[in-house]
Amino acid sequence: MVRAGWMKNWRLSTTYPSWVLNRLLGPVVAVALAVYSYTGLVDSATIEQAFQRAGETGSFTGFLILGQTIFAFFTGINWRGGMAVQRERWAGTLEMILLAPASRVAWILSESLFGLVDSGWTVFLSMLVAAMLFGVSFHVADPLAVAMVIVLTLAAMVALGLFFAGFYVLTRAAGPLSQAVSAPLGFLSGTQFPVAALPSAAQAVSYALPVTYGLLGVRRALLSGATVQQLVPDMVPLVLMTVVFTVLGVWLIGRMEARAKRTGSIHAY
Amino acid sequence: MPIDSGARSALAARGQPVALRAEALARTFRGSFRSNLTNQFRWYTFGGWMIASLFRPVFMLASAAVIAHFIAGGGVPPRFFALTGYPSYLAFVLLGMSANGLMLSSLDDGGTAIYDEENAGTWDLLALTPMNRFVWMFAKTLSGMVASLIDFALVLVVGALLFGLSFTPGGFAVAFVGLVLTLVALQGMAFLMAAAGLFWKQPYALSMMFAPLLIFLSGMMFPVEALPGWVQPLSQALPLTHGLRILREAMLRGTGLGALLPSFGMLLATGAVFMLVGYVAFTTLERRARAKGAMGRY
Repeated sequence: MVRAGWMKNWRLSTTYPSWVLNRLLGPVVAVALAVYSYTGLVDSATIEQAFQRAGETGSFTGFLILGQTIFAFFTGINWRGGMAVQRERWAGTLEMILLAPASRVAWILSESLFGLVDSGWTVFLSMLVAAMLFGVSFHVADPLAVAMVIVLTLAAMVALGLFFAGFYVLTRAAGPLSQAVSAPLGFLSGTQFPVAALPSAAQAVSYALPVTYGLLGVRRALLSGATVQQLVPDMVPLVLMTVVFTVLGVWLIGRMEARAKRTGSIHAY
Repeated sequence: MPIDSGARSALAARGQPVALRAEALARTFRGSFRSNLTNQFRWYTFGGWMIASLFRPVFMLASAAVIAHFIAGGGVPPRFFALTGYPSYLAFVLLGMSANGLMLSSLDDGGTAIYDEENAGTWDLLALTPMNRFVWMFAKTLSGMVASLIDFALVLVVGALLFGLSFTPGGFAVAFVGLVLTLVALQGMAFLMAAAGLFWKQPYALSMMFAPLLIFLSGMMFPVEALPGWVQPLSQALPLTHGLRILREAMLRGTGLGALLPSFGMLLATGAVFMLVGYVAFTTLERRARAKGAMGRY
């Protein structure tokens, strides 16, 4: 099932190269938008001081680059999960897929995993381009730490995407909902500013999201040269949340599918 | 989508007096506008598009509020004030984010104008009918823009209530004229996107790529004066940049129509250029698609 999903998405991606262009340019423009949202307001020295007061030791442009590019992974995974359901609904094939004796989780997972790999190389390239454009250098002291925290962050994002996919089965607007979900997640996860800049109540929600720990860990690994031992406080929550959201996601997909079949809303769009 | 009744009139009107041809165009416009407006509101469910239309701009506004407080301690950011003279950065961003729906409509509705018909298998039939496709598409994209006025009002009201923002009442009339003209000027961009959709066949990829670019270049989140010098001409070439300037000048400073005439002029001029380029691109690419037999392909 996962292989079939992969092949389908591979053919779609290679048929429409405009998506590749979108994924290459999107994160670079998002970084530029984020940088000028700061420099359009105050001078760079004031910005750096504010970040240092918040405990961020690397450059603020490096902070923003990693925030936008790493989060681009999640939007890619989440959007694919939502559009997978939406596309099948539009094509009138959602009922057949849900009637087939195949794992729904494997179906959604195939979409998310392809989104991960498909986004991966473009996001990585965008990160390099943005770093060159804005003159940012990364400080890596422990490559194993970088690899571990990135893998755990991506696993947590896939699990979170699986969790949201359960809701997409029920709604008639899975595509726009997946976009709507990205907006508060990006706000709360610290993609554009340190989580410490949020009010306390919002920070409590931030620290319940895996993306927050992923960004904290990736920034420490790539901007501050953190080692594996120093990243343990970020990696442990990522592992726990991956397990929790995976279990919840599998359960939700089953429950939402049963409910959609009971209410007869699967075919409605 | 049912074949527009204007098509039959258009066929009958060939060789007929101007009045009859005008009636055929009007019927094409009415039929396309009405059916597409109905379709727009059919999708406008609370749990779907409305949430997406509201969430993104409101959270972008919230991000702007957090950033401004984080780096400027809650006061008016000094560089922003030096560049614009506006008394409130959040009100500046709120007006920008309210226009986000208009911008997205020109990209999405323009880009999918033909794609939706290709997807439904009706584009071949529509392309064969002797109706004026320019009028048909103009009505289709205009209906999307009209629906996006709801997004504009919703974001403006919700954002103002959430963040306690207010605007200069005396500027509402000028702002309304600016808004309507911006809506018309963005039609040109919609045409260009429709042409791109004919060629690239995946309009969502293009609209997702251009949306952040337009947010960046048009000054939705920060003053365009903060952009590097070499980028500024690109910014000034966009109708949305001038539309936003009119909205902000009118609603944040109460600037009158007379003082904003140059901005209105640029708005109409850039809109006309986009319309002309979009029209030429669309007719050229449609002709090429016909020649290659690619009309119904999506």
